[in-house]
Amino acid sequence: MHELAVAQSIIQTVSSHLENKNIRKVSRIYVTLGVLSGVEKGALLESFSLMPKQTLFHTTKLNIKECELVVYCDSCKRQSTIKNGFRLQCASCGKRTSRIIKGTEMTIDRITYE
Amino acid sequence: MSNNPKIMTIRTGILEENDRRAQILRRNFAKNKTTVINVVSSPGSGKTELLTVVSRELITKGLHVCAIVGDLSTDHDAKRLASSGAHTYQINTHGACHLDARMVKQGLKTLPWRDADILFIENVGNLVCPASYDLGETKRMVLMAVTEGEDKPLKYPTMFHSADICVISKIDLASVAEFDEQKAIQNIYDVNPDILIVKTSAKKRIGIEELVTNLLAK
Ligand SMILES: Nc1nc2c(ncn2[C@@H]2O[C@H](COP(=O)(O)OP(=O)(O)OP(=O)(O)O)[C@@H](O)[C@H]2O)c(=O)[nH]1
Ligand SMILES: [Mg+2]
Ligand SMILES: [Zn+2]
Repeated sequence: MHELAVAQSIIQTVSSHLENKNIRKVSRIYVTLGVLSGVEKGALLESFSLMPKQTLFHTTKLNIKECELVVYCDSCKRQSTIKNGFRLQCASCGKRTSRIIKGTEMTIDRITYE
Repeated sequence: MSNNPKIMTIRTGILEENDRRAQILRRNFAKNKTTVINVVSSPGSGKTELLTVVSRELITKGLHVCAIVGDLSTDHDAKRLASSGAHTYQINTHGACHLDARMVKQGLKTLPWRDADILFIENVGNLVCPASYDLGETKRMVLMAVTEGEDKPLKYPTMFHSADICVISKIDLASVAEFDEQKAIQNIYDVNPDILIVKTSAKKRIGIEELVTNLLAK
């Protein structure tokens, strides 16, 4: 279960962006997880809520936006969203493609604070 | 009392800290011309066995080999691997399910890695967690034993997608395990069309030469 390590990294990364700023508390952290990020939303939410946190993050809520897997086909010049699993195939011609447009994200987008 | 919350845009990778450390390692490895292979698989797919045989082969060719071995709590694998003549260092992760760049940096301190042509990093046996952690490696190699079934890539797409080489290991057991090779290869390419597949048996020394060539290829 690396969701705990990921939760810790979220706090750590946000903290490093808050140095020398006058902040009383962080209200929300907005993150994006691609379905191919390997991080499970439910497990991350749970890890985040269970994790001991310093004052600044005591009441912080985690908002997770999940992002679908989208690939680009060079022959058809079009994108397709991969439903039902993770086979990287063009939805029109069925050919395999390794060009991923989105779905691997694991990012912190913004925070709200007081 | 409660003032309106203010917004701050951050836009950064969650694992930015690890990624930064891994990039520094990667630069140092490249400067030193050391090829670094991050080896991942489920527990027991044959990482230590294969690395022992491959290391012996490389050493016979006159190359210098180092290995960092991640393990939850023992040093058995490092000892086995050292029998090949490779310099090894054991990292006990004390329960952590993956290695990260900081641990690798720590491990390098006690290894003569600057003399090494190739450095293997045997990750903790786990197909989920190590996928997200860049160790600064040149190549990532995932093992899948014929005894594990053909659909491993579909169950653990993040890992198989992130790898450069996929080794189908324990190929000597393929017929006993009724391994469907065509189906397995289909599944691997379905989640990673660019991956290189090599079939090996560490016990029967099948595919070792081919793997060595591919590991050393630029
Ligand atoms: N038949 C056969 N058995 C193998 C082969 N490679 C490894 N094994 C056996 O598989 C078992 C596990 O091998 P290890 O090399 O310890 O696997 P590992 O991936 O390092 O395991 P962990 O470090 O615990 O995750 C051992 O009993 C090995 O002897 C092979 O090519 N053929
Ligand atoms: Mg091992
Ligand atoms: Zn197409």
